[in-house]
Amino acid sequence: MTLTPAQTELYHRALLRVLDCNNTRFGLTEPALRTLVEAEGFEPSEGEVADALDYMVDPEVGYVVQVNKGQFNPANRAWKITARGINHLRERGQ
Amino acid sequence: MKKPAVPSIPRADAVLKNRTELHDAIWERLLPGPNKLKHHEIIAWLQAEHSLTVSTGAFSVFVSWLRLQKQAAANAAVTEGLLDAVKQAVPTVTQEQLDELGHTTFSLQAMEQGDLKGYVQLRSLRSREEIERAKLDLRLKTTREHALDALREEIKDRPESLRAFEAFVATLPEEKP
Repeated sequence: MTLTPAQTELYHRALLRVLDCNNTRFGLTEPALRTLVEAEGFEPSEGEVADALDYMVDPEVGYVVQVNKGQFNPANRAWKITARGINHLRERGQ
Repeated sequence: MKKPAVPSIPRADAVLKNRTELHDAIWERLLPGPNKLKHHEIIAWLQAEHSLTVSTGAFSVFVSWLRLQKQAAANAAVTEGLLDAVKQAVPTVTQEQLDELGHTTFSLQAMEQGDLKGYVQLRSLRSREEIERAKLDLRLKTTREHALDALREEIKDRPESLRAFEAFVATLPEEKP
């Protein structure tokens, strides 16, 4: 999935919209995010989901937070949207 | 922070997402029961009672989002139940293990529902395609039958021609359903 900067931003917003649907205490794992973001029209590889999350968890961005580090299995790393991530979506009317 | 590469164009359904105080009232009107209303009735209610103007499309997107939120809440409840059962069955399980199991179970449920949604969409797409193909076949068959009937009508007074025509029609390949 080769994306232009504009497409990358749309892809990040799509991931955030998926995360925004979950307001429970549990996070979503990368395989789940990969499956669910397909409904938004993106078909990322596992690495591309991880890359996007790594960018958005960066303290300077801070749109997502890792709620499980995958201590027993790295595939179980789980993520949630932060208040800043929700604001980012809402400010863009999403 | 970097300037966004995509201009900020508000999505029409965002107005409703931001009005969190209305979510429960809308949900109540979506569920089966005495308060259930159709989408256009809820849109009219929003306009009349809350001065909110929402298009049918935007309302539909919002409803999908609200359903996913409710689904996530239901999945979380199932996960909590499972974690309680595991805790009781395996007293030595650590909190870290339970947490990881919780996130994984919750995600698996979401994935299953995501796949199921895709499967249903694919099935309905296939069904629509089958129906369209059947309609097209029906139209083709009707057209051919009409054309043959018209020819028959033209030559009905010439028995030899009619016989030859029917012999020719008999050699035509049968139309595939």
